[in-house]
Amino acid sequence: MLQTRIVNNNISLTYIPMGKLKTTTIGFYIHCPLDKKTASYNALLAAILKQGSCEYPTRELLTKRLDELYGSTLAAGVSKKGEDHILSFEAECISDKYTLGNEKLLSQLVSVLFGVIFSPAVENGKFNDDVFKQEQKNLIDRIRASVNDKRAYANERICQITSEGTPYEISRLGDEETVSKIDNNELYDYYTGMITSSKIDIYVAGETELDFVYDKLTSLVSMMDFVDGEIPSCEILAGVGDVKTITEHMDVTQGKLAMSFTTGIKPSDDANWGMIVANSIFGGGAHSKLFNNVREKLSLAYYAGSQMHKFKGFIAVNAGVEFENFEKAYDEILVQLDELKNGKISDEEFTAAKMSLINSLNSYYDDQLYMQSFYLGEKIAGTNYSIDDYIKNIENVSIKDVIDASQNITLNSVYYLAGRE
Amino acid sequence: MKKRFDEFTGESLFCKKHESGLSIYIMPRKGYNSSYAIFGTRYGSVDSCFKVPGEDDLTTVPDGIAHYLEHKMFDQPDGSNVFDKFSKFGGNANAFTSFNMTAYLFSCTDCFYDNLKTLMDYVQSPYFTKESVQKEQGIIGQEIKMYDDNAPWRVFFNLLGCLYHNHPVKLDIAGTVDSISHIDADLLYKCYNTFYNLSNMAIFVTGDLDVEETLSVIEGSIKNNKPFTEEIERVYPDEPDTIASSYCEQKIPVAQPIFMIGFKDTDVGYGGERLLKKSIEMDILSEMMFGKSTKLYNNLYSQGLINNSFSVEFNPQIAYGFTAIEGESPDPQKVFEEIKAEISSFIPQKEEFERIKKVVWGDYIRSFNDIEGYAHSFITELFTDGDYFDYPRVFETVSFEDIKNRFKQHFDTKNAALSVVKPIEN
Repeated sequence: MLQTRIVNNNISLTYIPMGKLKTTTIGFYIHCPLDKKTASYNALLAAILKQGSCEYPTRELLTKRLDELYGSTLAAGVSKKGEDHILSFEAECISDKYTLGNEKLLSQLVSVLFGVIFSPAVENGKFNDDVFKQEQKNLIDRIRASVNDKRAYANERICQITSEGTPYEISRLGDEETVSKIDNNELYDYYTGMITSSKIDIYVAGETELDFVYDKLTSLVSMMDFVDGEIPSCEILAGVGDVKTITEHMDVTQGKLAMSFTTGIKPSDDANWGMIVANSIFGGGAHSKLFNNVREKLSLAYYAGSQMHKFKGFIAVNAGVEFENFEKAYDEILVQLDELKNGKISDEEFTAAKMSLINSLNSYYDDQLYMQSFYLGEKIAGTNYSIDDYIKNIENVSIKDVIDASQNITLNSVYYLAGRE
Repeated sequence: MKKRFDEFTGESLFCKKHESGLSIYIMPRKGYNSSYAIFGTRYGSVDSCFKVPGEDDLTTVPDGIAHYLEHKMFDQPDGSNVFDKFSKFGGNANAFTSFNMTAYLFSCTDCFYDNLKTLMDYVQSPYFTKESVQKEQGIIGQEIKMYDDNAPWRVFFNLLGCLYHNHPVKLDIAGTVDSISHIDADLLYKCYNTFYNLSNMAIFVTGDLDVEETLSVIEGSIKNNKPFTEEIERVYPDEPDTIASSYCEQKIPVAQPIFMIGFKDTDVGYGGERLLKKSIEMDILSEMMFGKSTKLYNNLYSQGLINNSFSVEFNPQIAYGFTAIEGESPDPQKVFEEIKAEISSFIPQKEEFERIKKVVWGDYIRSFNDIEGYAHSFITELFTDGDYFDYPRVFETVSFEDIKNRFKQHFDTKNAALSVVKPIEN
C-alpha cells in the first residue's frame, strides 16, 4: 500500500493512502546523528525555521497565510529515535473537498512548507538577529522547564542515568550551555551543510496525487549539491556492572520512583517479539502486573508502568509513590519481575497483553502522524517491518518466548525523586 | 431509530431515546480500525447539592464524591476489577470526571460488541462495601497529592478561585483529603441511584460498525430502569457577576512563572443552540484577538513575554463560563496589563473575521479525524442541551455583528483575573 519515490540519493518520498481521514498530513524528517553539539543546533534550528520563510518573512505573515489555508498547521521540532536525532517538519490541512469555496489547499501548503525548509528568511548570510535571540532564549527556557512535569522529569532522568556515556543520554532539546554559545552565522552555516548532507524521509498521508509533490521537490533540489548521508545507528546497552542508585530532592509532595532494566535485545533480534510481550505483561497498561499489584492490590502508587526503549535495549519503570513507600514499591516491582521470569503468567495476562499490543498497532491506521512515525522508526531500526508484520509476529509469541526473553532483564539503575529533607 | 445526514461532511448519525430513558447515539465511520464508545452521566464535581425527583428535601454530599464514585464503579460484585474484563477483549478502558460529567469509555480494534456489553454492564452494576470504599481513600489521596505538585492544575484552580465567589466549579474535582474521608457506601449509592438513572445518561458509539447490531447489543444490555419523569434539580449557590479577586499567586518548583488570565462570563444561564452559537463566536473572537497572526500575540512574543505555550480557551457551560488564557512568562503581570490595554483599543475587523472563520471551520473538520475527540465534543454538547452534529448550520448563522456584540459583552476588564505560579527561590 505504501508507494515510495526516490528523489535523489538522500531524499525519498512516500505516500501513505489514508483517505478515510478528512485531512492530509506531510511529514518531512531529516536524520542527524545524536551528538552533544548538534542536538542543540537542531533544536534551535527547528524553532527558528518555523518562524518564517523568504516568502513570508515574519511569524505574523506566515500565520496569516496558514490561516487562509483553513488554519493549516505547520510544526517543527526535534525527536529522538535511538541515536538518530530527527529534525521534523509536520504540516496538515483539511482535504480540499471540505473547504467552503472549493479551494486547493494541499499544493499551496506544500509550497509554504518547502519554503520554510529550503528558503528560510535570511539576512546577510544569517538568520534575523531578533528571531535568533528570541528563539535561543525560548529554547533555554524550555530546557529549564523540563523539571515542571515531575513524572516526565523522573523518566528523563532514569534514561540519562541508564545510558550514561553513550549518545542516548543526550536530551532531544540539547543543553543550556551549548545553546547559549551558539552563534547565528555558525548556525546558518550548519543549516546549509546539514540539509544537503543528511538523509531525508518525506511522508504524505491522506488522499492525494503524489506527482505534484515529487515534481516540486525535484525542481527544488536540482539546484542544490548533495553529499551522501546515512541513517545513524544505535548500539544496545551491555547488561553488566553495578546497579546505579541516585536520589534527588525537590519541593514535591509526592515521590517518583524510576528503575531501569537492560534487555540485551536488539530490534532486529527474533527474541524482540517475546520481549515486547514480556514488557506488556510486566507494565504495559491496565492489564499488567505492575498496574494490578503495585497500584491496585497494594495501593502503593497512583501510576506504575514500564516502557521499552527498544533502540537502546532497556526498559524503564516509572511510579508515583509516597516517600515512605519507596522501599515497599521498589521491592514489589522486583517481585513482579521475578513472577514474570518464573513464568507465573496467567492465560488472561498473556492474552490481554497481546491484545493490547495488537489493538495499539491497529489503531495506527487511524492516525496520519502515528503512521509516519511508525514507518520512520522501522527505517531507522533497519527492520522495515509493516504493521501487519508486527501483528503477525506478536500473535505467534508463545509463553515460552516470553519467559525466555525475560531471563535477560537485568536491573541497571534506580532513581528516586524525593522531597526536601 | 432516527437517521440524520450532514451534507457538508457526508457523515450520518443514528439516534434513539430508549424507553428506559437512555439516549443512544451511533455514528458509523467507514474504514476506521478503532471503535469507541462513551457512556456518560450528566453529573460532575459541581453537583454536590441536589433534589432527587420525588423527594422533598435537598441532599448535600461531600465534595469529590462524583469522582470517588467513578473510581468505585470499577469494582465488580465478584471481587474482580472491570479492567480485567476489558483486557480480555483487547479493550482499552478508562473513565473521567469533570465539572459537569462523569464518563466511562473504551476503544478497541477487535471484539467490539463484547467490549460494548462489558461497558454497559459494569456502569449499571454498582457494588460498594465498607472495605472497598475505605481502600480507595489511599489511592485518591495519592491522586490529590499528585495534583498538588502539578503547576498547570494549580494555576487553573487558583484562577477559578479568583473568578468565583461561591460556585463549586472553583473546587478541586477530586475534593480534598478531608472531604473524601466523609464518603461512605450509603452516600455513593444515593448519588448513583440519582444521577445514574438512565434518563440522566447517554451513550455515543462510533467506528466502522453495524448500526442495527450495535443498537441491539445496547438495548439488550439495558437493565431495569424506571426513568425519572422530572429533572433532577441541582442547586448551586448564588453567584454574583463580579469576580472574587483579581490576583492569586502560589509557589511550586517550576522553571519559570506560568500564568492563567481569566474572563468571567456573565451572559450565562442558557444552553442549547444559543450556547453552541456563543461558543463558536467565542472561538472566532479569541482567535481574532489572541491568535498567532494577531498584533498582540506577535508583540508579546517578540518582547519575550510569551512563548509557544500561549493558548486561549473558552469554557461554555449553562451555569457558568470563562475564558482562560494561559502561558509561561518572566513577567505575567506585564502580559496581563498588555492584554487589558489591547482590549481597551480593540476593534473587530471584518477582514480578520472572514479569515479566522476559515480557521475555526478547519478545526471543526479536523475534529472528525479523532473519533474519540468527536465523541467527547458531541456528549459535552449534549449535556448542555446542545447538538454538535448541527454545528455547520449554527456556524453559518454567526455574523460579524455577533462578534462585535460578543466582544463588548464578554471582554470586560473588571471581570478579569490573573493567576500565577512562581518558582520557589532557593
